[in-house]
Amino acid sequence: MPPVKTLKDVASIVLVGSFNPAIFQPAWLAAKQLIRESEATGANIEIIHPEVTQFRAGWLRLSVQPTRFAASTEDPAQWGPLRDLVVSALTLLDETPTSVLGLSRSVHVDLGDSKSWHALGHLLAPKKPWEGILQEPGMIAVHLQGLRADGRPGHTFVRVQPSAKYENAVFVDITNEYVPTDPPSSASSNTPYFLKCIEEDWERILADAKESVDKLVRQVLPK
Amino acid sequence: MVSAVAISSMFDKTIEGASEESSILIGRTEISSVEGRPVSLALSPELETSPSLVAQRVAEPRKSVVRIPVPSEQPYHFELRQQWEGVVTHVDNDEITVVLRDLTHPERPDLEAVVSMDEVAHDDLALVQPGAVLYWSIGYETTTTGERKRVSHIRFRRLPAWSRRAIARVNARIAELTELFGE
Repeated sequence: MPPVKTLKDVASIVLVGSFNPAIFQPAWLAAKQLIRESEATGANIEIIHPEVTQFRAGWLRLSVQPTRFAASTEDPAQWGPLRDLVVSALTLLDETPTSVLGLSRSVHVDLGDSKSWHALGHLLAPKKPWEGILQEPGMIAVHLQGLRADGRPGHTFVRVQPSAKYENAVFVDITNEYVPTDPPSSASSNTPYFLKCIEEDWERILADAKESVDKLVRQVLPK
Repeated sequence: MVSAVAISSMFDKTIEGASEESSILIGRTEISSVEGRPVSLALSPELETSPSLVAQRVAEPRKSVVRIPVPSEQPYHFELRQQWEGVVTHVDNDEITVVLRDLTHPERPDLEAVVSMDEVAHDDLALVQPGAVLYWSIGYETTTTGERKRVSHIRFRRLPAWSRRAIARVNARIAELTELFGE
């Protein structure tokens, strides 16, 4: 079976909670030894503002708003360091209130040709139900949710849409949502649980997501 | 939440790469945009002319607009071919001994390797000690200009640090137990 060709692959860790964007600057991460000094010095700072901090430091992309913390990388060699950085940063700020965690893998997959590309659209969004309603219907995006297969509280969300970056390619995002197991005494009580989930599940979540993407697209790829 | 904000948000534009798209933050109302181009918020005509909404607009001070830049692209593409996680067992002046766990082929047995200190990034030298964990990655790096090269790099793991509060909690607990059970 030929390997599924990935054109772009992004791993992300996102937390919803209460954050102070001004803290999460490259210099702070380096001072706490969460990234290399050279990475902080060479960072491309896109914006630092009380409402949002966003920058790229080589492999790391960080975006923090008052209610959202998002760290991601396109470099598969840095998936481990990404996990380490998020766990370390939130351990240092262990009283940060958080309410939801999301572990995501987003992939642009090359389907090879327009035939396979259209086949995936027909598979996920059959056109027959739309006869008499839409003329020449086409799939823009499909969103689905399912229960977590690992039993953790929360859902798995899958989004599939034509790739806007590559021809005859599809974009697939798989997000595993984590919610608190029991109503906590305070939102800050969730953070240790979420950090534990990141440490325990990160590698497995990424591997499972790739397996799911492969399983999905192989249904239309030539055998 | 997450890229799933696009799923549940009433402003869902089903725009690809929600985690990478820029957005315009007006007060607390987030509107997704594609490549920095703002997307207009389409209210129904009834809502736009609602007296209560007009009154609200007059009463509220104008909120500042923060335009979030389009996220920059990673300046290279890395095709990972092989990765190990290693634990340092011995450190000499110019070389370190590590036990390597194969992350690419987990079924393979652990290996022991001797690595030159020259392979360690300057910023990581302070982390080199027995027990330190490292990632050793080998693959092909392609820059945005198309230059492609084979790369082998080692990165030491930067483990979670204890916060002052956590240390204080542990110390307090030790004090409690000491008082309870004696020295």
